[in-house]
Amino acid sequence: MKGRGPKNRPPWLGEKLLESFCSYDFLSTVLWDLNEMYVENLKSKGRLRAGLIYIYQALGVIYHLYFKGKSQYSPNRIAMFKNNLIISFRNFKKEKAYSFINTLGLTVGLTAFILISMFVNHELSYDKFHKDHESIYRITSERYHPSGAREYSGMAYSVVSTLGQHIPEISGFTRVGNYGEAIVKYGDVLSSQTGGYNVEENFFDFFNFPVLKGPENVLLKNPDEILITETMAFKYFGDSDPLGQVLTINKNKLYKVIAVLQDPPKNTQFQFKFLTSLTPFLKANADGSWVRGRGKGFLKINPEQVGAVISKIDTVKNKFFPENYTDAYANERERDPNKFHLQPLADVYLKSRIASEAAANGDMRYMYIFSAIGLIILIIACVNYTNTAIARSVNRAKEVGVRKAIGASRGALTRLYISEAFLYVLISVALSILLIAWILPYYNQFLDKDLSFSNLSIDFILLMFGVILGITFLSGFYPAIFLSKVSTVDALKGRTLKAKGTGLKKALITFQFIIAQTLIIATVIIQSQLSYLQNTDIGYDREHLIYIPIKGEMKDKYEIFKNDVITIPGVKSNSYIYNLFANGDLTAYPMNHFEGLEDKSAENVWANFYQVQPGFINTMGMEMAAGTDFESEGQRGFIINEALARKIGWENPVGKVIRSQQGSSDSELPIPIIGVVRDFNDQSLKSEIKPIMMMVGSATTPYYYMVARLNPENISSTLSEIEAIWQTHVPDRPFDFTFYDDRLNQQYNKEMRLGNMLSVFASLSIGIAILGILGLSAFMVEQRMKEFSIRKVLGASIRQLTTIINRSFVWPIVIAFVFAGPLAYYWAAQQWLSSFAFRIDIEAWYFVIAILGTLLLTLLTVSYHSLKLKRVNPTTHLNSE
Amino acid sequence: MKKMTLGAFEEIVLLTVGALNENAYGVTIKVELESNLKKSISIGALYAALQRLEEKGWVNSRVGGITEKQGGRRKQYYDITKQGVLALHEVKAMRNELFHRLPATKIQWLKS
Repeated sequence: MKGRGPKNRPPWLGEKLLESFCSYDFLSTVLWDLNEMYVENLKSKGRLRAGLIYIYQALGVIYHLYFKGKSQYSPNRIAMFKNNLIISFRNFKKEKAYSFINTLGLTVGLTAFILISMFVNHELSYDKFHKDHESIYRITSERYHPSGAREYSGMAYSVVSTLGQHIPEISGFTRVGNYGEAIVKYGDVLSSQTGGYNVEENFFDFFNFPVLKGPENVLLKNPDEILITETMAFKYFGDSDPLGQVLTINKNKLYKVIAVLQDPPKNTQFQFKFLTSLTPFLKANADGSWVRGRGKGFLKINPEQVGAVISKIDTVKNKFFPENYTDAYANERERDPNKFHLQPLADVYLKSRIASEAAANGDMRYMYIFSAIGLIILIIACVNYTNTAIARSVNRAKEVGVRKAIGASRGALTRLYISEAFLYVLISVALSILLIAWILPYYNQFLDKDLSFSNLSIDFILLMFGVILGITFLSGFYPAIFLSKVSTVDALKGRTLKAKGTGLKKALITFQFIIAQTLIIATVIIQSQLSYLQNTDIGYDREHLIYIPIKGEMKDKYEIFKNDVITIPGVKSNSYIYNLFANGDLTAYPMNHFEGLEDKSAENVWANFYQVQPGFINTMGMEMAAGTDFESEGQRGFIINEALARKIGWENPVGKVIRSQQGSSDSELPIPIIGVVRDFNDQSLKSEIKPIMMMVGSATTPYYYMVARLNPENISSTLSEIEAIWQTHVPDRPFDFTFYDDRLNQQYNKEMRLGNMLSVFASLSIGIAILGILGLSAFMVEQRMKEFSIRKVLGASIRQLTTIINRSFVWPIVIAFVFAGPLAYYWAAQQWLSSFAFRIDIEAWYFVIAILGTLLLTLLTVSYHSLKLKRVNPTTHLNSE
Repeated sequence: MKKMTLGAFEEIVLLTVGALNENAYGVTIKVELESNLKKSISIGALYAALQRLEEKGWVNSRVGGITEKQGGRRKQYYDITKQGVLALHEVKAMRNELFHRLPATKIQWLKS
């Protein structure tokens, strides 16, 4: 009746499940019954449902076997596993201090690891949620710049479309423009709105941002339509329906809301608030400046054809780009190949090194550092477990002996200790999940991210399971091997266990301290450098200095505004500059014909160029080394810095004349140098001081920023007075200002984040290591109690006993330092510090603090236990035997 | 020794094993139970119950039905033991006794 052909075969998964969980006797019974039911169901319910019922019933059998029934129906090893867990749990409860130390160490290690992984995982996920993201590339261009080639992501729209239309391998392209700041008016309410992007109709073919309200496949066809995010919808319309409402942007343009999009997730480079059509901007640009542009181009290319596309770019460029496709460095054309590069979309966030991106970028190198630190902390925690487990093994020797005597195999013992480690890991995982849930809001605030458990991917969770198994094995493996290989007789006598394992124990302690000390030294070096960056003299006074972007109609009233602002008592001085210091996209110009240095005059000397108002040098708090400051608007003459003077080779430059390409119409006329300013750093301290020249702004180029030096007292009231003046002149433009030192510090955001994270994790690693020492010394005192009692009887002082105990911990720390010192020196001092042109000198105390700190902490910890010896009555430990 | 108790599910399983006589094994017991209880039951729960009954000595198991077709597998048959019948009887007697003590006015409801 019941054939056993493949067609009638029950699902193998069900059979396998039963085979691994049921004892041999019981197995065949279950298989028979379930098989009979399966064959029955096959006739009435079909193959799939019968199979599902089979698996469901099999799971039911296993469930009842383990939670409701007795273990006689299950195979031996499962029963032993159950028993092992019970034994482990009893041990866990019995030795509370030991369990506490181990669990705490593992919990802290796991928490740190998971938090770091969540962060790294988030950073790696940028723009990977777009369908097809593998075949989307961003095009960037590399242009000549005197201080080295620079890569730009912005370019003229016509460049992108020309390349897209003439290279057949490019199956599509879309361009994105940045609106910059917009003034949005709804009803009578005016507000400044950032996050505006101009996109093409096919934007959503490239990027997936779901629609919340409105047509599902919304298209931006008309130039008077706008898509807004839910946040923006709420900001302007509250609870009323945003669809069909009209917003006025930048005074005269009306936009109708046609759909509301979900807020873009944090893990995308497009942090938009609203989208409008790019078409009007293309028209305005029709005959096209090909040279500069702020548009970003995204191309759809089959990843296999990227090479073909790159090889065709030059041909297309030569054939279709107009003659005037040049840039600021026209006469450097032979050095200006204007190369194009393709960046995979998902690489833009972490791997792009472009200075001016729409949103701050991450850094792949830091991802590696963070991952390494996370892993290392986890390993330290595992090492702790291993160490204390080995130390405790002496106390458990009898147990092992008895187990062996009754016939436990080595494998069975190994499994026992592995399951014990498993229990600890399990408890620690549960605790660290609770801990993370508690820490996560603060962590998010610190990182400015929105990490949460709910948006973790399946891959990530699987990885975490792998990690759990991994650390179980890592922590439990050695103790298991170590304990199980002891001979039965020795174990029963409690002999020889002491001698074994101490070498490894010391090696592991050394390892822990190598890491802890390395992290401490690195942290100290990085923090010292960060504080140096913020406090060193950069050639001008960055305190109480603000800048105010001059926008809209204010450009025509800037002189009045300046005169009004200076009347405020809280403002010491103010002035204007064309473009700011510490700006990624700075301008440089070549100069030649240096008076008195005819042999040198043929070559070009490049200098960063700033157009300033007279009084600027005074406001910034710079010092003149020679000559005078600018005296009047329209004055012809340069003020250069000492670096430029050195580069040209002038001892006394004041009064000499040079020619510069700047000032196009009269560029052939020589311009005198009227003053030399002391060297100052116009970029971040990562780079050397560059040659700089300054000139009074011409009437044709407006100033974009006011700089103002404030009185340290009552800064907030001074600021509101400035704002009041601003409002009287341009009431429909929001007032905006930034402190200069904030701007400067922003350049070091990534470094500061690294510094902060390192501080936390260095403390954690040393904390975990000390926890391990606490556990180890407790065991040591306990196990050598007899020895110490005899010493005590013979007259040893507590101090002598403490020294004996301490001695075994001091050496590993000293040896660790031999490794940690050079390691930290190599990484922090050589690798990391070398990215700064201005850096601290490495001082001995950075290293001394690490070794002394760890020594002191360890000795304090160990001494805590040795003090217990004081209270011990030697007779209680000597009368047994 | 602690007095062994007979749970409600165990009781009905034990009754079914007895009623099926020679032919009580996993599947037949399950089918019979489901038709009487009018709900589906998990075979796992059934095994657990049978296991407990066996420990208490109210059923015996024997192996049978080894055929080539089933690949050497066997059925585990269950037979009710004398103690099993006694236990059932005891429970039944207790129930009957309690039932008979129901007031006549309430017994009346059965007839309406």
